[in-house]
Amino acid sequence: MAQLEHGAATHIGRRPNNEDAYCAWPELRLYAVADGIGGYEGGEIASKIALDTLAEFIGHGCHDMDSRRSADATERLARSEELLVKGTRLAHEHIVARQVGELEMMGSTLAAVLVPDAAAIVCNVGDSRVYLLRDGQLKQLTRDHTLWTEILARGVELPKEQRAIYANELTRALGIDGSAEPEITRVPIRSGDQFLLCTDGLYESLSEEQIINGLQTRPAQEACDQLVHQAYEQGAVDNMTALIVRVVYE
Amino acid sequence: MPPTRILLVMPEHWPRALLRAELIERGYDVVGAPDLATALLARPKEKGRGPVRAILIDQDALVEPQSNLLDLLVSRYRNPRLVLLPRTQLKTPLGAWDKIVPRPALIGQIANAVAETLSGVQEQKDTPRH
Repeated sequence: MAQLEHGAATHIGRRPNNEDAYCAWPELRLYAVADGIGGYEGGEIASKIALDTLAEFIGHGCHDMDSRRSADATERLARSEELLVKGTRLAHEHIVARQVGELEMMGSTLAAVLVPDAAAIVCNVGDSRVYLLRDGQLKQLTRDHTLWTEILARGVELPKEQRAIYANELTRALGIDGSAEPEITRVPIRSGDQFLLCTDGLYESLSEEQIINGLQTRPAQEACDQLVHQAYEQGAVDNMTALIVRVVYE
Repeated sequence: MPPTRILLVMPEHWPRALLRAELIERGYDVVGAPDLATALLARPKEKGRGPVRAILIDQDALVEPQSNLLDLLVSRYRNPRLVLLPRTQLKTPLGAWDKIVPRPALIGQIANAVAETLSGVQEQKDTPRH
């Protein structure tokens, strides 16, 4: 089984509070970032609910899977994917259940990577991203669930100056009824692969080249600190979070 | 309970403004937009505002490639009632129209058509549409 090394960092940016959150559970081989929305303290609460619910659900599921060791790799992968989907849906339900009063508008994005065996399962809802750096090439594995992306996908071109307006409008997020379905991608892993999970505050402030350069830093924790620091130095206003998962060897 | 929200997608400013005023008079919360891309900026869930339950679309707003955004608009507001204001000289565009209001039509007639599609919509909101 592949060995995984990870690092993570978050920064408040120039906002009054940090609504981003991340989690890394090496024992579950689960890594995730979430970006809360909703004002007041709603965003912070929503992103925390999202990650806590997901981890708890997958923790139970993995324990259950471990107790039935007969499952082969393909079955384990399918089961892990199912856990990720169901855990995400449950996180959505838990957020909706808490949408009362000042928390009425809260919600959260979610980008998660689960690495059960020789493949990583990537899951996202919203505009937090997962990138893969392999052989020096950076590839975005997730699709942003924003109006900007959806409109471009339909062949409609909007003026570049309107990008910020449309890119800030999520078409999917946990806590938005009917729009919380996760998008799942499977990626076979190789030694040397690096997954970067990040919120929009980070990738909006850094160029692709800067992200690639940042990912060359060792260890992973230092790379995360550097990426977040660089984004802040370049004027990032939004909260920003970086979580790196490295496949050390197989 | 906040009033039901209605989206008006009409390129021409004055007819849109008049219809908006008429529907506001009738107690609805109305948002006007000149095209589908702008209409999408209305958030499905906004504090103190009701859900978008109906969208009126002028056929002039359904020019390609903007017309490709119709499905996105419908899914964003979870299958609202759809009212089309067609152009008489053009073929009626495909779509799950709940009502088509032929031109020429008075502002009051268009408002009536929108209101009719909304009657009983609260009771039917969780019922899948065919």
